Amino acid sequence: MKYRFLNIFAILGCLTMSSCSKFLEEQSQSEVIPKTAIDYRELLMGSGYLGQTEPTSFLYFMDDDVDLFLEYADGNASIVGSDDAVRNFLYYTWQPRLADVDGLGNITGEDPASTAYYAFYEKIMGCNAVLDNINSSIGTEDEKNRVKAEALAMRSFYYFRLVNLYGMPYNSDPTAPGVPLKLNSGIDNLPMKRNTVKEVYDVIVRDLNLAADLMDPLPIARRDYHINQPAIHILLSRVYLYMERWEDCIKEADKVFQQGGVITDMTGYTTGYWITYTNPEVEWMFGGNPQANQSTYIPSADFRGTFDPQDVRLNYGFSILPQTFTPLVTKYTQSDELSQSIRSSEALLNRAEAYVQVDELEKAMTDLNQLRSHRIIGYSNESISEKNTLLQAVRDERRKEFCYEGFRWFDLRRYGMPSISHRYQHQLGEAVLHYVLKAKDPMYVLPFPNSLILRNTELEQNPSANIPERIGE
Amino acid sequence: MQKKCYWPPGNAGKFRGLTKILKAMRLTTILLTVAFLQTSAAGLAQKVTLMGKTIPLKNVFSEIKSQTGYVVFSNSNTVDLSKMVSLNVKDMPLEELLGVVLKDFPVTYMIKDKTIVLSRKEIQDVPAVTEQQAPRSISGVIKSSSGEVMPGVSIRVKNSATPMGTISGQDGRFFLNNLPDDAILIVSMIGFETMEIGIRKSGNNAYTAYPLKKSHAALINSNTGENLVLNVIMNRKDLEMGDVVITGYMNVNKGNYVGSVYSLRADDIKVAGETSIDQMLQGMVPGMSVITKSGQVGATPKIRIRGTSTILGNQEPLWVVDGVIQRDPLPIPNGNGSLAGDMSELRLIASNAISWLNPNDIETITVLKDASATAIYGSQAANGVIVLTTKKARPGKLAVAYTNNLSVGQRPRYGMYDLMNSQELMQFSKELYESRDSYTFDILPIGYGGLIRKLQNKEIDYATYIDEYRKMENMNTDWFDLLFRNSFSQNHSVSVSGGNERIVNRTSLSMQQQNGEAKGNDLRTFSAASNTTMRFGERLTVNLLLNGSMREADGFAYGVNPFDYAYNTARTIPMYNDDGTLFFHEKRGTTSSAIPGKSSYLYNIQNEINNTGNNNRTTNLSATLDTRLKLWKGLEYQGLLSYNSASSNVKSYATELSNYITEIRGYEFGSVLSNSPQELSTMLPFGGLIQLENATNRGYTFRNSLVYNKLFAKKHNVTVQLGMEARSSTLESNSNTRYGYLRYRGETYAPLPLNPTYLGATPATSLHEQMRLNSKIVNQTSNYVSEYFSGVYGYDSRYIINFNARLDASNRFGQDKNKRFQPTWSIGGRWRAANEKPLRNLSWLNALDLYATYGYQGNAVEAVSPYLIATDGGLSPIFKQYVLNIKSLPYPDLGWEKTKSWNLGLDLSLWNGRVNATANLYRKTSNVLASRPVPVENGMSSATVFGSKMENYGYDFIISVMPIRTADFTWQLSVNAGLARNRLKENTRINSLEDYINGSAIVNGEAYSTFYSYAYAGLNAANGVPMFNNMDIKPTDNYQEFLVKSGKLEPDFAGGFNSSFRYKNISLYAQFAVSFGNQGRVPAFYNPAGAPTPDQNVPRILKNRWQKPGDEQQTDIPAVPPGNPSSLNFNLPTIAWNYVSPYTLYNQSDFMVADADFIRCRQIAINYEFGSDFMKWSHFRRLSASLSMTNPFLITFDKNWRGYDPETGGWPARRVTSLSLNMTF
Repeated sequence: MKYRFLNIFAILGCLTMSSCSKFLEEQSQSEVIPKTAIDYRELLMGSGYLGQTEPTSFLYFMDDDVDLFLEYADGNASIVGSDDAVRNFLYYTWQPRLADVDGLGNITGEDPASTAYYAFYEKIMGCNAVLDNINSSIGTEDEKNRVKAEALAMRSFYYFRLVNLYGMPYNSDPTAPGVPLKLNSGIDNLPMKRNTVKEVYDVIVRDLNLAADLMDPLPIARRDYHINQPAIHILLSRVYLYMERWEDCIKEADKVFQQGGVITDMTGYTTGYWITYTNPEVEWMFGGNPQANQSTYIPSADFRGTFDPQDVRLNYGFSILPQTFTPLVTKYTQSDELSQSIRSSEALLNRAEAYVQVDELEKAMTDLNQLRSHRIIGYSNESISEKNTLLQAVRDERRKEFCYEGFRWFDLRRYGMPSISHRYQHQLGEAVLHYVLKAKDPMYVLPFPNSLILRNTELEQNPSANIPERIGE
Repeated sequence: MQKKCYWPPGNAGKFRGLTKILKAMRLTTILLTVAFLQTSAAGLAQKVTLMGKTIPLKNVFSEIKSQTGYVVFSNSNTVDLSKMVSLNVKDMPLEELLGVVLKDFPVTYMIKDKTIVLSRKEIQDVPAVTEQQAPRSISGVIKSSSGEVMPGVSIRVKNSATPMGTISGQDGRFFLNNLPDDAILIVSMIGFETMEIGIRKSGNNAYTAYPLKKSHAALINSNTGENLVLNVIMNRKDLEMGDVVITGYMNVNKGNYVGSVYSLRADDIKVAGETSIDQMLQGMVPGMSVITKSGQVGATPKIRIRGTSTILGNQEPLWVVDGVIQRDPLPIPNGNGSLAGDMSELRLIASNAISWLNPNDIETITVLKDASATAIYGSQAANGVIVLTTKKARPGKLAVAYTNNLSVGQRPRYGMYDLMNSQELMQFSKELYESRDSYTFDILPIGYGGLIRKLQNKEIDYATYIDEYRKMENMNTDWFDLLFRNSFSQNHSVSVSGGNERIVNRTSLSMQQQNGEAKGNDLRTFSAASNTTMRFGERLTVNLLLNGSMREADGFAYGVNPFDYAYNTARTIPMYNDDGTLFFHEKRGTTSSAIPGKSSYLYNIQNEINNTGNNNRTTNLSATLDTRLKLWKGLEYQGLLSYNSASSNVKSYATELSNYITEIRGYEFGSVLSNSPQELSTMLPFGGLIQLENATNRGYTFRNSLVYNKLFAKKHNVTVQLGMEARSSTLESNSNTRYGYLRYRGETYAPLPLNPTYLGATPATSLHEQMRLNSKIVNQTSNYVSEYFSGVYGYDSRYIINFNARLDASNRFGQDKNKRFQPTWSIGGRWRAANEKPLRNLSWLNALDLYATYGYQGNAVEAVSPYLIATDGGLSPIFKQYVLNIKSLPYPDLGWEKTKSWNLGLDLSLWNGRVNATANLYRKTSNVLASRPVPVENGMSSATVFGSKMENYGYDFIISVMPIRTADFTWQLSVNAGLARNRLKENTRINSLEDYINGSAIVNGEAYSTFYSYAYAGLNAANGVPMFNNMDIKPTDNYQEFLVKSGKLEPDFAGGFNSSFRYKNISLYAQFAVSFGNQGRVPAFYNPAGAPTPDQNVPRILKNRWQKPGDEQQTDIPAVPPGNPSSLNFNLPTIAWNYVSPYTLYNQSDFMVADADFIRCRQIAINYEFGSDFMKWSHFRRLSASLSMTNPFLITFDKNWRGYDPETGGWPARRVTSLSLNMTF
């Protein structure tokens, strides 16, 4: 009996005295406390980069490259009055409630987390979390700098898109309200005021320059889905272009080519799908398909008519379905790939536009010809000497080059917010109505979804939310 | 079924309270049993040789045993076995020896067969009544209250000069002669209430027996005469119930326990037709609310003990079975993937932490409510603990018990609801059409709407229209009949128990087949349990429990809800075509990716039920080894090792023929040609969807503790327990989502197109990605180490002080290492006033206890961590590299939630237990973490904040009285109730408008789940559109300025009452559950856009809708809006623009709120206990039959529910009629 007691005590003692550290060692199958620069690089990829989604794909319905497919015909049905047509009607006709309901009366964006606005701030939070912690992580200075530069560039990219969705164009009123700047990852319970457009741009410019400074000394990596040096410079040149800082724009575009940016000669192409890393012109791939609808709202026939018949971008960028004559946009890659890119041709076009603005028309013409000769079979160089004509030519080229890639709406804003119109038919048999977005229309600055205002009481709504319902004629 | 309530022991507090208490305790462990004594008395010629100066008494006895084979039994408090004696005897006869040894001790002994029973010498405090002589002999039969004869009962004569007594034989008979004068018989048996029966002279040479305790009067039955025949019925004492509180860690004498607990016996609350114990607890425990969430078979109810005290943390109570903490067998669904929401729906009928346990195997249920009771469980017990013990074997003859239960469930019917039949609906639709009311958008060609459209499009002529109209009018499809049935269910349960003093065993098998009222909802369980207690020597007791169970439940999946469909679908829609084939109607869905503009698909509920399904299978195996070893005087080691393995499979599928899959495919099955553009453009040309989840949860618990229990100087009672516990559980699960499932082709898979050419509206998300996101392997180990301490000091059975403390640590990821050990402690005191001198002599007062406890608990909220935590995103298919995703940002200042609580309690027992009452007052203050919406500029929609204070205060009480208690007739009545008021304070959360409307707003000074509504202000006299108050105020961000408080969603008063009558062999039992104090929104009958769609059935009250000016005086049912109802929309007075339909507001107005108070009759049962004559004839030991109705009726106090069940919010609780047989062989 005595021995038995001893045994029991021994067991008791072992269990209580021996260190429980092993038993209580933290463990998780799938959770990690990021510590190294590599961890933060992965974290940035997962939480700071835009996956295969495009939060602002609704812009597809709003610019002047889109049209309702009234001519849809396979002998059976018309898309007029279909749910698909009705649902997107509010964006297509720039109605004041477009951010809150769809044309079928369903409430959209009721959950603030479902809005495009949130999608960008969520990614900004990812960038902020990386930026707040990367300095104390384990890793070489180069590793850290690269992660830091990427995070800064990504954050700038998101703010750039946000401020252009919800703020006045920089070149029309930089003092107008932009979007709130949130530059750290701490959670702030207080409502946030909108910073001015200029304040937002200043941060964008500062961060992109810092990113470029940090990353330029490092080797250039392409095709790894991380933003790289040429892409940062292209972005910077785009920002300067929007700010009308022409010289800076040219300087940044130049750097792209110094860093090995190339323009692909596409005249040998026999198929679409060129927005991919196999295209040497592509510096960085990101995001999802920006074309929100393929068969009811289609690339406008008028716009397609402006292409040169020998333009590869027309012949392989669109494919017409034989039964329905639907023009599918075929420059994007396959469905399980990222769909948007930053590519060197933008540097060329940014630079050309800036050259025109600083009256270096020849240089602009050279850039324009270079691009066209790589896009149009049998193209022979042209020469335009009138500034406005050349500016228009560069802008038209930009429209063709980047159509349905999320450029046009922002460019229209930058070009002075011209008047555009869309045609719409409510029911078969009824008249085809024309809806007009007037010049400098308030709708060029999108209304915030109402749920955001409810959440952030300091978020000042844009006037576009309170315009009367737009009536077709 | 009879109902008893167990209360503080009626007699425990009087003169020898402590003695009895200790007896009870010791009895449980010493197992004094004489049931299996086979050898006859072989004379007392046994000789013993023993020498020594200081021999402990126990050694003397073990020596006697080894030399003579005579076993000495004693209650430990009868004589202190460690006392020393000095002996020098050689070959002394046993009796003589005992006389020598025991001469200095206040004990007497009795020898029967080969057993020596020691008992305390009585102090002669009863004045001897003279002139009474003893009867010559006394004989009789002893039976249990359930009618079984009881062998092995000890009958001792208390006041005889020489030890005298006997033990009842196999047939329960006993015989004694030569009784002393004025004899008092002590009838005792382990597990039964000891009775004292006096014998007195009642005439010349005639004697009669009387109970010393009046309450026993009904239990004895004797003749009068010289040879007395005395038949005795013994009440099962249930040591564990009456006197002992089972905390799961320790069995504590109730008199020495401080804390608010409530115990009941599982057999008393069994409800026919319910499958697991959690469902049976509704209305039974004061302070515990049990809310049934669905009328499906196998659904898990929601249980709250003393209100809700956390917002983010787990709100469920902790289940403990035989000392082992139970876990949910399935992992918590994580939010990844779009199908995660479906998964939680599929789990409604999945098995939970205790559904493996056969209710017939449960002996006791103890609910630990206050901090003092739960502190021993540490941080995980903040929501209360429910401790179950399973039935143990009793030594004795082999007993086979069989219980069955056959039941028929009653389906819901149209008569229960106020819904239109098809004639009324056609008339209604016609009126809508004729008054040019309209729908907002395209209506689907169903019912009247479809008919009128055909007429307008000249597809049919007027005569056909009339024909069709008549046909639809007479359709009257009975959806409840088509989708529901009067189901038949059966349960069978067999248990075998028996054994001897060394080893006893109880084994049970049970089979349940429960068919739900909805066709396709079934539950089958099979379980086997074995409980063996072995005694090795006198010190070591080992209890081995084995349990295995299998549970299989079939339910619905992927949007199929037969009740909602039947309730909401127009009766003009047929189920079948004239030729007997299924009739399909259009149902709106998502936009097709294959056919532009297509967004409605064919639907038939039967087809959907046939082609979707959900099957849950759980297998549970567990083994527990519970060891008790006496080490020292009063010191005991208790060890527990338990291993448990549960594996759970969930399989849910939708075939390619279902509407659910058709919607994904984008066209009707078989409606396009092979290789057609549509087929090439769909994501899912072939096959359906299957989701499989297999989880295995393996875990062990290892516990060691030392218990010291000693009475010093007869007054100071000390109980100390110190222990440590290690728990580990490993969860391995894999969940799989596969599209392309071919159910009818050998359950194989079809390939999915890699790159469909999308023709449709939006490029759909790839199903390949869906499958990847919704498939996962989880492999997770959770370890816990705890140390606990519990100390009780009792002075003279009058004052008791108790202290409990526990430290918990776990291997939870990302916790703050400095704060890893979470302390929990409690302190309490009890005053047993009835033991005070002045009250001691009050014969009507059995117990009056007052107690107060205070405790502190930390509750770990796993959602927060001081570190930035990332989850592994695995290999990203788009970035083609490993990624990490942010799971939570660091919260450096948030640790755990702290709860402080106090409890004041009163236990009262009067008139020998005829009146029992317990009442508790409590207040719990918790500093809780709350999720608070933050400006989305933070990149998060909500964040966790500290700073809300949640207060729960209230009372709970139970009163049970037995107004009549005679041999033939008893009437028992019990009422229990709990009020849990909840209040939130110091909240910093900013609530959104939706929060106010749906009850998730946290408003200072209001209760959790308080919700608000728009203030309905009658109908507009001009157009019958609802109007609302406070809509013209200045725009405000304080929504309370235009909303009105409607109440709260969770009840604050829950209780129950029950009553049982017994007349001879027949007893009648009725039980009711009550819930008051909450409100709910009644089912809406208008869409946000106004008119009901043609596929919708509507309540009859729409006939009273506003139709012409002036109607607003009589009715509150708005008009069906004319024209485009969006023109009626208006702005809410919010700062932000909020343009709403008055019909949406109407549905969310205070007019559409009803009090959810209800009284539910849980069951009415009539039970017949077959008498002894029948027993003799049939050789049953016991047989009873009962007929019962479960949930026969529900009383709601607000007629706005219109037949709807406010508790489940839809699918009504099951109504079952059952016949049960209970027999023992």
